Amino acid sequence: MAQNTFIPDGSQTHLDARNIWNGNATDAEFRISGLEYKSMQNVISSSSSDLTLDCNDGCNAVTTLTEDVTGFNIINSETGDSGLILIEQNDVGGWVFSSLDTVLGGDLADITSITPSGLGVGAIGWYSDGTDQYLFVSDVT
Amino acid sequence: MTTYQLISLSPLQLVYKSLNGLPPSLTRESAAPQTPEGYSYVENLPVPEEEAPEGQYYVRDLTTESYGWKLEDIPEESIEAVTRIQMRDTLIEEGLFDSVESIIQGMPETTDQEIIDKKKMNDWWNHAPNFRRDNIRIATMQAALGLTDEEVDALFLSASLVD
Repeated sequence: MAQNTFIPDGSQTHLDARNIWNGNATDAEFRISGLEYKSMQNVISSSSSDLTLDCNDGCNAVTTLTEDVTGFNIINSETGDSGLILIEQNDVGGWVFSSLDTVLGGDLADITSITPSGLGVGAIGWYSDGTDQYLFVSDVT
Repeated sequence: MTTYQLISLSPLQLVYKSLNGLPPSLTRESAAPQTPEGYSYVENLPVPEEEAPEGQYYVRDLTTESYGWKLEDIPEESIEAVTRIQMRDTLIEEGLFDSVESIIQGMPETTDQEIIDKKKMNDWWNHAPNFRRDNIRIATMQAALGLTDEEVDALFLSASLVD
């Protein structure tokens, strides 16, 4: 879809104008809603050591580790998508975050050092080039 | 809390860098994390509180079960060389200095070769910057002084401690 321009040449009616106007509004709504979900903050949890980020629910997320994460997956992402995952440790703490994705900055091993009980935080940034996911790991507190 | 150490199983050795986000060492209450095939976390044990027996000391012992400690005999330190001043000081302390001088002075000078040998020995004794444990003249002097290998080793060890 694309936005259409109404150029009256004397033969159009008010209905024609309204249809173009409404069509443009529908198109805009579709496009904006397609962007809105990407910037929503998703709340995710691991299960059986797998942590999945579903971009349909938001490409950014917060999670509290309650177990070791040995599998990290991002689904429903598109080429050029990126996001940030904010990570905390539960009361036990010391959980690891392991991934085979290429880490271009920082060290995933630092995630285990996040202060437990939600007192500390770390972040993992990611980018998808359509084939691979690239990770960036922040300092942690 | 338990401290775990990441190791590779073949060859059996410590891993010093993080492995796909698994830290080389971590301390926590939970059991060790799962690792990729060929790797494992083992418990990093503290040094035993019990003092090591006389003549032994604790050294690290890495197995597939733990990164612990084992007892080993303290190796006898072997000194390969000392300076001339260190050795002469030690011989003075041990009361052997004059004996060495006497042995050299008493070397025969009946043939040209004996004269050369004595001159060389005298030159070595008075001017060599270092005395090497494996030098043939040390063995000659050891025999002349009637010392055992252990006693000569002890002399070199003492000499090495001279400032």
